[in-house]
Amino acid sequence: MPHITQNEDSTFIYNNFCFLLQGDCAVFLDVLVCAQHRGNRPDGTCPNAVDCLKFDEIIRVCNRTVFYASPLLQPLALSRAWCLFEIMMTIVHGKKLLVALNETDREGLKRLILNDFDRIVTMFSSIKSENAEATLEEDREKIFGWIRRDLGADGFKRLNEIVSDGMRAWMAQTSAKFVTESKDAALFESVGQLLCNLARFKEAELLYRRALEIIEAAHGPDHPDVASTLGNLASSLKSQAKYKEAEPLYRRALKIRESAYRPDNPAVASTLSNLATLLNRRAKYKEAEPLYRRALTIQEAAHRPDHPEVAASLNNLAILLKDQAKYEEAEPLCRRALAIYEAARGPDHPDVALALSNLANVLKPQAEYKEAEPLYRRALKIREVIHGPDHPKVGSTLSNLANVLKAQAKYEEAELFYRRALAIQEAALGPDHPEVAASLNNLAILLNGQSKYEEAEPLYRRALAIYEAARGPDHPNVALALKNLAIFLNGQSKYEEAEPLFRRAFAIQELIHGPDHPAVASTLKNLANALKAQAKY
Amino acid sequence: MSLIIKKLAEVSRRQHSGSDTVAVVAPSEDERVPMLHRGVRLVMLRNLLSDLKELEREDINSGQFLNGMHTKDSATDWREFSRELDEYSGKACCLHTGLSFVETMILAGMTKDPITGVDYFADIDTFVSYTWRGPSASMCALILSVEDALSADGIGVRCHT
Repeated sequence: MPHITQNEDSTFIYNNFCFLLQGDCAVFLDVLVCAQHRGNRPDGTCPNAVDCLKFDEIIRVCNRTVFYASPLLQPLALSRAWCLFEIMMTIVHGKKLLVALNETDREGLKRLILNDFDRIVTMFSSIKSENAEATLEEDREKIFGWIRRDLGADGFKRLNEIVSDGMRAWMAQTSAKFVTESKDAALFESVGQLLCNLARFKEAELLYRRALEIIEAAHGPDHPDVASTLGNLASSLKSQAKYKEAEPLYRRALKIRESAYRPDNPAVASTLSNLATLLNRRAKYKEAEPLYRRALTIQEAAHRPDHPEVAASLNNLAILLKDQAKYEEAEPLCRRALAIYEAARGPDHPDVALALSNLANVLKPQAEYKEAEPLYRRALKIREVIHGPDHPKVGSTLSNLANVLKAQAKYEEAELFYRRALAIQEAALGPDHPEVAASLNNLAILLNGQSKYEEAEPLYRRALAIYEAARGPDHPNVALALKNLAIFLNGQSKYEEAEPLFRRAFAIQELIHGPDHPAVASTLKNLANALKAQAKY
Repeated sequence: MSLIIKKLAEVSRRQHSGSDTVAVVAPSEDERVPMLHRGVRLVMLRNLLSDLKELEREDINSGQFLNGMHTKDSATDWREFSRELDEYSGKACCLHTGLSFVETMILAGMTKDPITGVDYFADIDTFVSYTWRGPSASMCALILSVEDALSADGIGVRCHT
């Protein structure tokens, strides 16, 4: 009989055997929770037939799913139809996926990660749901029907991706705990890549830095492998908005690759694109454009014209043109990239979601809201399924969708999406990330339009502070945040406070875009209004 | 001392002596404990684990737990089930209700840990996905592994074995 004592905090101690912590949970274990007499009641009177239809409903209300993956070297559950369906529903509903292993496997996992990482990642991410089995053929047919219903005709392929992503997420979390003991640069890079896919860029950065040290020590500073790691490290920094730190790393990587390879090598194009994207983020458009164009030329020469690498280059260039308000030039590039991705990757691939968003981003400033809205909705649906509902990419798509809804006076739905986007971005990227600032700005403008001034003002100010800290004082985002706050203050008749903000925004925009850019004209008009209101004719 | 299995088996034998293989017809869906309220708390799993150890069933898998220690294959185990062959199997414990193990415990008034008074059941918040048979599929290992995964995530039981 266990001997029990009760602590003041209601923690029970069982014979020094185990103790219950606060925050207990209640599990669904079908062998205990579902009626199980179906086999012995062929007349169908057993409630099991009802119980096993409720798994989806149960997963929806649960906070988490624990997936029992032993034996580690042959995870049988990944070949079972019920288990794959349960993992899919867990991820699709945005629930946490925990992986449980027996004691032997827990001890073996670390050894396997350190010694044979690729094998374990391949094993856990090579899912073939179309071959999954169930004890009862009718169960298998039922589950396959649900997969087709929920994920479309291409459901098995998508299910394989969803489950693989879920498993990779677990691998990344688990591996990150162990790899610090390793001296294998490739292992650091592989785990770093998994972490980046989970938007855990800070952790990835640390692993890439360690990989860089190891590779530089082994091969010297100018080896092509160094360029690759520099690129990965720079990308993780870029994703954290550490642009100033990232730029010299990309430049060094480019220099190494240009020396090591022919100038028309796709590896050079890849680094050119990465550097150009960074320069675009820093509003160095004139520097970025020739790099993108050179990358596109290389990719078009290296591949056929409908190759996804060409689409990627088209997309990049289109974004740059859009950022310079060259919408008419950007739009056909976006459409071509979308067509290539749809043909090459199928209609529900993440690259298609990216291309849909980019096209919508170009249509929106041209006031083509009715065409942009369904594109954003389609991109959102793809990203929610692929990445889960709390991924930053879902957040940014929600924000964009809310923008076009607001432009069509659909304020209620827009506010809902802005708030959801903000919550996702704050949780995933931290409170000081530029994406958070964008959502704050958007939400503030919407609230201002609904006369919710007290709620709006601190959001404007917070957005400005984030942009100034993250992007420096002369970035177009800072100009936009200044202008937004100034417009708000103007609306409150605080003209004296608004005027210097308009002047600062105007100066930044003129410096970045030149005197003829539409944004410059718009800010000048705002400034003129503020001056007029103060009788400064 | 077995806290759950032996007691349920005894109730089942007493209340349903007519057949060792066919359960009574279960009540209709609206008379049952709603599925969402049938969540098993870790203290109940711990006691079940203790029962399995006492009954020398540490190595049985979920299929054997349900249909009997003598069964080997999910495709046929339901046909091989008989209380006569294994009176402590999960199904044998539930023959008198035609319901789940959890519902049968609730009907038998076994809703709290007899020592601490902690509730055995609560609203489900954790789904467990697993296979019933195959290598490494012992029910005890499953329970301990689930506890470990939850514990690593800051929830529930931390074991000192």
